[in-house]
Amino acid sequence: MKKISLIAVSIVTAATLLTGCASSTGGSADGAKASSGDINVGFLAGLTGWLGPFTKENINSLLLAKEEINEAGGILDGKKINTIDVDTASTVEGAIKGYQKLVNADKAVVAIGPETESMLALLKEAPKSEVPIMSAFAGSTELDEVGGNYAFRTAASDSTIGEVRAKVLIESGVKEIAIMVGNYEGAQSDVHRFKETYEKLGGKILEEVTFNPGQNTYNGELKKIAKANPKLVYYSGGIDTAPSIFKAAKQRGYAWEWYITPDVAVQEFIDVIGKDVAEGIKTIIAMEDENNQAFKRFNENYEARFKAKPSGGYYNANTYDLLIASALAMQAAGEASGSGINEKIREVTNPPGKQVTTFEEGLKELKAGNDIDYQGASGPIDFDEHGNVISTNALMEVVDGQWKQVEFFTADYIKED
Amino acid sequence: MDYVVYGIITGCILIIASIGFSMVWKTENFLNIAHGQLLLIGAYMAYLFKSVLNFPFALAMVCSVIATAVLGLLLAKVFYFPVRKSGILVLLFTSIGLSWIIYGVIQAIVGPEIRTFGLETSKMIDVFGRQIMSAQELFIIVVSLICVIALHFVLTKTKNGKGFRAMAENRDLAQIRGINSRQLSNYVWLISSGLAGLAGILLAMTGTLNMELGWQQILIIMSVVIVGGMGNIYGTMLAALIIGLSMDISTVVIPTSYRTAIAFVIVILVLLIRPQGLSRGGTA
Repeated sequence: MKKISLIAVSIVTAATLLTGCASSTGGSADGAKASSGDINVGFLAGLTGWLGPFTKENINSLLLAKEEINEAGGILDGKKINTIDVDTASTVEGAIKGYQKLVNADKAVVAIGPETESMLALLKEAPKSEVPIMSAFAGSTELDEVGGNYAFRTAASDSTIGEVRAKVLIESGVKEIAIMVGNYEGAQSDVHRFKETYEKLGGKILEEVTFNPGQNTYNGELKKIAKANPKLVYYSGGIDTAPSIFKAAKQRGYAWEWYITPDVAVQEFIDVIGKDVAEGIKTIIAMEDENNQAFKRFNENYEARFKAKPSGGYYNANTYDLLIASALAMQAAGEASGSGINEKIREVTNPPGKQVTTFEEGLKELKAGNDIDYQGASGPIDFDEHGNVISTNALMEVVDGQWKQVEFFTADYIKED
Repeated sequence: MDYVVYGIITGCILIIASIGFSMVWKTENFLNIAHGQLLLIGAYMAYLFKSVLNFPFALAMVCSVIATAVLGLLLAKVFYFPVRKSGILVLLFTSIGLSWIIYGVIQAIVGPEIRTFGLETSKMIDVFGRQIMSAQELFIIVVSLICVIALHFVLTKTKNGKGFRAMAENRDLAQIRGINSRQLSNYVWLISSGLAGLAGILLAMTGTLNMELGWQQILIIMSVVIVGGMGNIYGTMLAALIIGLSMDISTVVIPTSYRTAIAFVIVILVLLIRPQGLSRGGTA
């Protein structure tokens, strides 16, 4: 019996370790095929966990960028890009372990993908390791003034989206609202700048209710909001809590209008709460300019390659741009290294320089010894001193069970008076 | 009044989620951490029957509860029974390992997508012109009441129930008196796992099927069982209601973000004032 017990415990222990490892480090997409001359680029993101619905398309976007770079002949006289997917299980611990794996085992030159909390956790480590961290969807205000040195993002800051959102509401005559915000950093950050600007512009927050994810019900929280009798409620939380909250609000006949955080403004949100409940819900989201040639080309190539359109709001173009910009930066630096990317990424993406919209064009100009200004699929991507970009935005509404663009705002919208 | 109703609904779900955990503690004498993942199994089983095999929801619920009960028993036979004599620490670590195995296997099968049962939004029930609760919430209360009454009947009127109570009081003495502990143990695992599966379904009905469901519930389940008096079934039921009511009523006066913390404050208070829990620690 002792023998059997020992075997059983051993199996469990081994399985536990294996499961733990799988969730924290994931696997390599094509690491096995990499040759010694290839340049390893890490995709460090939550392939499972709450970020999973987003990242499944981001992997495709990164693959598309990699293929375009390699088909154009690679960088630095023929070196090919090799992407390695590392699953953080949408946790900070997973991101830290995964980053160490990319730096030490895979010798990756850049880690693309961490979300806000992971970016914050890796901020000090990245300059030490000289491997930049780059996020396509970390919008937290916490990153507004701390990045720029081995930390960059193509996601617009919640600060700018918050300002746009506040201004749109005030201009449309909504002067009193309530807020439901999740009890975690990403949601709090999303609300922070919006609230600040909204109140500055003359708006009034009637009630702010913070809720914990994973509760059985949210009736008490909704009742508190209802007592304030708002015409509009701003929701900043996860998709997993949304059905409990939105369905209960509908059941109880709370007729207020909903605005939601851009973080959950995806088709899956509509699918999980139901089309009837979702109808009329609005959001303001960083949105690519549909007239942008680079964005059009990205969409066409993505669809041709993966037989499906890239979903709006999934930061696909942002992910794609990070790899293209990194490759151009390495070419400009003349070396395949994280320090090269860190040193040259602003030079190849910001003015002055000849505007290019593809990797191939950029490579050609760089080889000719010209300065370039890469215009990405997600926007102009001009990194400021803290590694942030300013985006264009759109007001979206759920109509007939799908997100539809109602209004478009240029990057200058918040500067207008 | 509204907050009392909300608290009762929360408490009813907690009752179903916690009873099984308490029963296993009483008969097997260890904290079955994997109980949380049985909630997850129940929820996804119901999804399988309803959304994949297109069973009517009521039938999907019944099939899921039965399947979870059987699976729970099988898992116990494979993982727990062989190491039973190695002590409660081995059992505890085995249950933690089993939790991760269940979590990993389900994640590998279902992927990262968040799902729902796709049920229609239920209507509110009016009592004297006042909306009290939704039909779905009434359903949760009724199911919970049926479970409580059925369990009381089983524990007090059936041979197995009486055997369980005897074994819970003194396993060795019960065996000497001719009670078949192996059969009773199977019986406990079946009921415990089935109830966990049912709780998972009810939770997913009100929210979503997501991979964190089991982990999110297990701590609060343990709080309920500690407050109720480890292994006391009726104490657990009472504690579930008290914690449910406390969490929801507390939101009237304190910020809602501290709602969950209230459960743990109650646990600390109970441990300080009455370490044996609300009841004396027996079965009834």
